[in-house]
Amino acid sequence: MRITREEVLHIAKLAELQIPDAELERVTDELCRICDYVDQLNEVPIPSQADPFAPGPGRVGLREDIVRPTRLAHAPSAFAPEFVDGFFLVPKLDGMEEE
Amino acid sequence: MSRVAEIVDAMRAGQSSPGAMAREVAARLALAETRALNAVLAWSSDALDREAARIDGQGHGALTGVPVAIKDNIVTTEQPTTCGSKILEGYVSPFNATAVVRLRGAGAMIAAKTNLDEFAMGSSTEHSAFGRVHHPLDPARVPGGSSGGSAAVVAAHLVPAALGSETGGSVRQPASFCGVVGVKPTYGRVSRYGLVAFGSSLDCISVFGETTDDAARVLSVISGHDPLDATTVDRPPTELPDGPASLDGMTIGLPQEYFPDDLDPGVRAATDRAVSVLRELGAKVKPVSLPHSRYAVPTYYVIAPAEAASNLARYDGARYGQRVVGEGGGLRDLYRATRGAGFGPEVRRRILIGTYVLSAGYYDAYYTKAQQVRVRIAQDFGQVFGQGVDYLFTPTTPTPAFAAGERTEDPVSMYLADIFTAAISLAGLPAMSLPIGRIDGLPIGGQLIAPAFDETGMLAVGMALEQAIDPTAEALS
Repeated sequence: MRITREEVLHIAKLAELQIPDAELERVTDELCRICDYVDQLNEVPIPSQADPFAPGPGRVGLREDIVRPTRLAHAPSAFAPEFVDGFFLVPKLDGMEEE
Repeated sequence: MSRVAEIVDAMRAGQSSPGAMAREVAARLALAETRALNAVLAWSSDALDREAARIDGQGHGALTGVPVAIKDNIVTTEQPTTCGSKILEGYVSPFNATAVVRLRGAGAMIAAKTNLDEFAMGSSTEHSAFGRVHHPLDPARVPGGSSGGSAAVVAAHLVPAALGSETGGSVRQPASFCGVVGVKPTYGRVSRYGLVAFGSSLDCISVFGETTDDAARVLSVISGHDPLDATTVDRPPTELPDGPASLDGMTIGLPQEYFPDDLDPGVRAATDRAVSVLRELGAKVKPVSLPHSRYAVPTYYVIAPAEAASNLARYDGARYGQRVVGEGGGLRDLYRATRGAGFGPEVRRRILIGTYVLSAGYYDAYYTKAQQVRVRIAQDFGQVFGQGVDYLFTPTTPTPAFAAGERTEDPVSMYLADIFTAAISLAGLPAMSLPIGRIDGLPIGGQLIAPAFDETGMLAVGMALEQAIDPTAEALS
């Protein structure tokens, strides 16, 4: 199947990824080739009521919901781009609502 | 005796010390830098000395004084964890992974962090932001991936064991290429807490060793239930085998789909010889069929990118890692610019594929379909193991280590390097690769596959085969 450049740009927007214009054609071509390869899954007959596969334990055992202090070897200020007075600082949300 | 056992015994007998081991490992790592393997991303003599001092204060444990290298997508507090990505360059985790906590608790020494394909996405360790890893026996070739750094440091005898991670074959495939042992446990056997998430329904911390015993000793320490990972199974840690298994009366299945007509002649010769050895050891060998395994790679390349697209959404430049402020200066500009600049081409490709197959209009055609085929793949294994087959044996890879650059321009040809390993990952089963011969000096791996949670039995069969076969013999001579 053919994925269009417009679709790739839409997917990139959903994925919050910037794709330089110079790379768009190559990326589009690669995605088409991968999807063509994956399309062979349509050869496999599947019963209409197939249960999904879940590896691991049959039942997920949750630990007790107890608040415990988390001991960190390094404070957030050591690894955050901007961390002030207990807050992670990010740019304003300007323009986000429009999208 | 395995190298890990030798070190532990020497420590116990007072013939060596953690300090002496730290100096020995530092000397080897320094020498390796001159060989330009580029397998190690972080190590220091000071860190090794601190590890030795810490171990000196502990009683003797199952891994006292054993240096272990850690793939750089498993978090450690003493070294950076970059995942081979610019987006995490310089990041130091505020906590240790459970596997690392258990290694340290057993007296192991964290020796180094190893290079990998960015976020474990790749089969050659060429997709690292910090340069490709060179094959220890032929620098023009790749060591496999994504845990190529861990495979290379064990193959180069810098450490006797290392942790890697598997999503679709990322330990077994480089183990095969580099001529070492690689063991992937059952999904849920080893805690994923502190393993940077890629494909959460597939990811398994796994082990490299110079020998099966080396890998088994490390696996027995890191396995077992962890309250910090709800997908771990409530079972005791993997037991060490008593020794090589007797294969008398055992049935080994050969899935015919894993021996295609176009299999590399050297790989075929090496696996044929290993099958003969299994027969000589008393095993009954019979052909079996896993008909849906041929769909494993396309299934994997829907499910793994879908999970990756979700997991990697957390790298947004807000709380940790690199930050790039976009042109508009807003929050969304920051997300897009940070992720666009921080992720390499293969990671971007997989995020886009994953986002596409999860998007409205394509979800059922791709993601639901792949989940349904995954059921069929897993059922095939269940049927074979339910019909009296104890273990399965296959080649680990369709070819020996390929040349660097040979597959980087064609993503699908790179993905096919996992053609014999991906089905096992999708089914969540344990498997191991061990060296069974060479072609023109390059190692070939054989793969043993076991029913869920039978790691101990599988390792015992691996030991028997390892003892009976010359892994350095040329397969076509």
